Amino acid sequence: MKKIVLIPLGLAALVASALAIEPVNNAEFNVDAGGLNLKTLTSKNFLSRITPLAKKQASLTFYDFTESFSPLFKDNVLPRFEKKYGISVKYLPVDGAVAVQQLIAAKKATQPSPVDVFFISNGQVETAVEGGIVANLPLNTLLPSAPDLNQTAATVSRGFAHGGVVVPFHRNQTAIGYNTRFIATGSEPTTFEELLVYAKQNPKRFAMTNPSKGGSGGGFLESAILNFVKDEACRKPFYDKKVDPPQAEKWATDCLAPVMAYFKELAANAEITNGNTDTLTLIANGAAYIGTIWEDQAYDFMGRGLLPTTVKFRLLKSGQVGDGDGLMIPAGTQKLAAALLFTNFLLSDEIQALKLELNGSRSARTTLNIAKLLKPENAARLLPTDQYPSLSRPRINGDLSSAAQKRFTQDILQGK
Amino acid sequence: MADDLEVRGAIKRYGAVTALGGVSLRVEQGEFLTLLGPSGCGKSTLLGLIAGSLEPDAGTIQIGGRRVDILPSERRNIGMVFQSYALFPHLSVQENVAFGLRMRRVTETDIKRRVADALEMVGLSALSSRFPRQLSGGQQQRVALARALVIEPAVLLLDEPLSNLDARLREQLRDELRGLQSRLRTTSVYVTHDQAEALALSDRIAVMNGGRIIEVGSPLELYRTPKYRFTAEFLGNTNLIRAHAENAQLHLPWNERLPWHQTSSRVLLSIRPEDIGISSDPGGAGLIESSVFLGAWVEYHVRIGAQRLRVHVAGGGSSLLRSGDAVRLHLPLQLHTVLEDDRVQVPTSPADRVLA
Amino acid sequence: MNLAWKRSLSLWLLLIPGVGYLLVFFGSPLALALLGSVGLETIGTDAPGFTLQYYRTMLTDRIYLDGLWFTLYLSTTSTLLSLLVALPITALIQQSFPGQRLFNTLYKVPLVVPGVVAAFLVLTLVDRGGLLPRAFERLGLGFPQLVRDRLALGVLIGMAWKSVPFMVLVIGGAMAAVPKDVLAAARTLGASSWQAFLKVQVPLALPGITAATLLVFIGSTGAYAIPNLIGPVYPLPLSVHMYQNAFERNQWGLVAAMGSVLSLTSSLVLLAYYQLTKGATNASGKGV
Repeated sequence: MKKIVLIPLGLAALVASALAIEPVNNAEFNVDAGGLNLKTLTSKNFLSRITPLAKKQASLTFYDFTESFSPLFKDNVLPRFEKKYGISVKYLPVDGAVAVQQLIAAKKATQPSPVDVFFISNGQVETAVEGGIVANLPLNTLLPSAPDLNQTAATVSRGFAHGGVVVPFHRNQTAIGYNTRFIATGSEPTTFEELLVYAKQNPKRFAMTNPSKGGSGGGFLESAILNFVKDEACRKPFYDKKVDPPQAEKWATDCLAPVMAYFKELAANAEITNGNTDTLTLIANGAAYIGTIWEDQAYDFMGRGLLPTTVKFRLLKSGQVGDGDGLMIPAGTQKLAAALLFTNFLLSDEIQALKLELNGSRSARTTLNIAKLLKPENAARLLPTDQYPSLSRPRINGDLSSAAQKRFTQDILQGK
Repeated sequence: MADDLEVRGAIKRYGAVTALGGVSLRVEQGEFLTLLGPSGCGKSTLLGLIAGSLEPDAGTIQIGGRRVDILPSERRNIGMVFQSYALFPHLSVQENVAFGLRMRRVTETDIKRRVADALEMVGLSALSSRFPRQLSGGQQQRVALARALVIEPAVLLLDEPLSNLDARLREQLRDELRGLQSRLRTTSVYVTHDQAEALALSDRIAVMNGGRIIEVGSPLELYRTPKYRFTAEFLGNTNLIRAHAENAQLHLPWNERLPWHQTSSRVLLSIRPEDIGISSDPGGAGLIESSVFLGAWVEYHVRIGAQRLRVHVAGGGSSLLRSGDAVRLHLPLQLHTVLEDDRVQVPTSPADRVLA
Repeated sequence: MNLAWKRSLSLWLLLIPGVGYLLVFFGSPLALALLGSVGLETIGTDAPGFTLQYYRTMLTDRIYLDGLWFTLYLSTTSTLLSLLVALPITALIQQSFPGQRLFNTLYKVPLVVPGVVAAFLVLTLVDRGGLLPRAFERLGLGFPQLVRDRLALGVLIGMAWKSVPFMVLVIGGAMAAVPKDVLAAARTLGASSWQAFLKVQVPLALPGITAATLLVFIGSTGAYAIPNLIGPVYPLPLSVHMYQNAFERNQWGLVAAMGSVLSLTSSLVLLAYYQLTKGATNASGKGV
């Protein structure tokens, strides 16, 4: 189903790059263009039309909802941007949920937005779009630095189709990490079934993050759902945003029998851990040989010497889920040109590669040449190129995921 | 059960302060000895060393010939009564008294009997299941006494046990204590700064000052014939008169001479106020400066020459002399001399002071 | 009459700093939590209106019910454990021994160590692949699982480690208030220092000991970091459920219900304590 959707979207992207942009899901643009004629803006004339205006605006404010990206932005990205364009960026790390409420409150009070570019959690996108605080610009096709975006990642956040108003800046990926000291490359489990066999032969050597305590476990559970749930009716709501919690609970009761059967056997032979870090620590001190991980976190741990370089990552053949977070331009910005120029800069090869190198943070750009852009030893720490992005899958509906976690707790942990 | 107690050369310092400067003392079996002195004289420190709540810097302590200063408190077999009573507030009267017996693993039937006997002895049988806070001060101290005595200690230590009681009760309890002591003959060391208590209770008194024992003797000896000025002044009232002897005559500071046989030229007389007689005599050398009627006796302050003397006249019949009256004074036939305190001999061998 | 009015006004004004402070900083959060737990108040969105659904969920869903029992298990056991460790330490610090000053400083260290750090200390020491298991392995010995274990032994050790110094401080204060003479009396009557401690000092310091025990118990019902990091994967204490429901699922009503149930439990324990101590005073007060 996804492939069928992707082809028209890809075509649309190609066609659109030559055409002037249109407001997303609306007849009019909801943003103060400030002397910029949006109706004639294309990705071709983007830089020549926007750069002079942006330079005139001279500064902008940038919100970051993460804690981990602060060194990347402060020490690397912002100085480069300021040097290149002479535009200064006021950088503020914020609590994502609080910032969204702040923007909604500003909009209700018909005040300008306090921020011009907002690095927003995928989980908050729906609230932000429905709160009317996101500029309805098709960023997925507009930015000349990113003509090659994965269009699913660029138009859908956790099953919510926003049409491209939030552009994916950062992608992350759940995976399997294994220590080659104990498991030779090539002999590592490559499917859920092989993983179970391995766990039975090596009790307590497979560390799985408790799904309700860390995303690497939650992602592993979702990947297992994608693999084991075959029934069409049960698969249908995976990427449907309209599922509500009671429906999700019913789905978890009706559809997860094969998944739970699998985990019952697996958990009996695995160490279930208290979080992403807990799993990594067990792998690091050699107590576990293989475990569920986030690629970027493990990459970061390795870079800081917290995880031995003998640890390698891989994706199971049936695919594993990944996610990411994006950039939005608030509808209330008074510095649209500067905001657009900065967003375009953040999606450029230079920054996307830098971000990958420093944080292990993946890109939604499909044609980035990692082998060329990264130091070989750093590229070697990432998932192999034949597995990523080809085996990456989007995360399923959040309510389904929560319901599945609860069922996991009841069926697997309670009885353990 | 009673044993003798011997302290030899006990020294206790607190930093630069010497609380006890080499004290030796012997208490005979069954003897009641009082440590008497002003506060800070070291009497409580000495008691603490005997009890084992303090450790001496030097010296030894023996009870019944057995060295105890190296033993913890609980193995010295002593009973102790405190000024603060120090009863166990969470235990009933009988459990307070039983405590020491339980520690000694006495059988339950024996405990019952001995506790009952001890409470009977102090007259508190009726209150055996009360708690300490429900008792008066005097009752509490009786419980403490029963508690200390029921274990039949080798030595009983009493640290100002009556000081927290009001005057009447203090006297009553003092008498009870004396009665008990004469019955039980427990070797006892009693600490007090109250001379009346000391005189009333003690077989012997050790007068202490400045971390040393000044002198030891029976109440009568110490009162009548103290060796040192400090004893004379601390134990009761006295008149100190400086005089000098010449040609077998003693020259008093006023124009009076008495026959004298001692050789030393300068003497310090100590004459108790009640030992001086007084008679109205218009030609007398003395002049009454003031008089105070104190019930049992009258206290006169008499100026004679450059000296002021205190004179106590007891008994009825004597009409009151008035201020300004001229009087004649009658000194006792036996005059007693005392030594200045700076001549107190610090014992070089422990036995010296014991015999003093 | 004017004067009386003025006097009552000034009385109210004088009450404002004290009572006002209590109302604003203790009363209002408590009231908000209670309102939130029955759907009358909520954070962010509109309140759903009066409902007992949150309490129903909390008290019927086995995950949360197990969480409540687990919280009580952790609090009770870790409190008793720390009491067991704290008592000998309070006895010890009253004696003089070489290195006492150093010890007196060192035993307070956990007071300034955050729970997260305590959890990591336990992790590095006793987790699989940690220092002790490795040392044991080298000696050819096995090491019990103390992290993510069913009995939450590592959690109990970590929580007790955190609360021991507080207990020692409070109990030590109560012990120091026992008159020296009373202890000396016990010693002369034949009690060893340990017997005097157990038979006299401990009973007399009992009010301080129970107060310390209660405070530690109530404080530990909210323990989050240690059980979250090194506890078993199931059950999770209510504190962890509260965090997850609040910050990951936005279920503030359920969080408020859990908080109210926990507060209620603590209040009941406190009430029982007051009732018991009142009874004890009466019993000994009546005497014969």
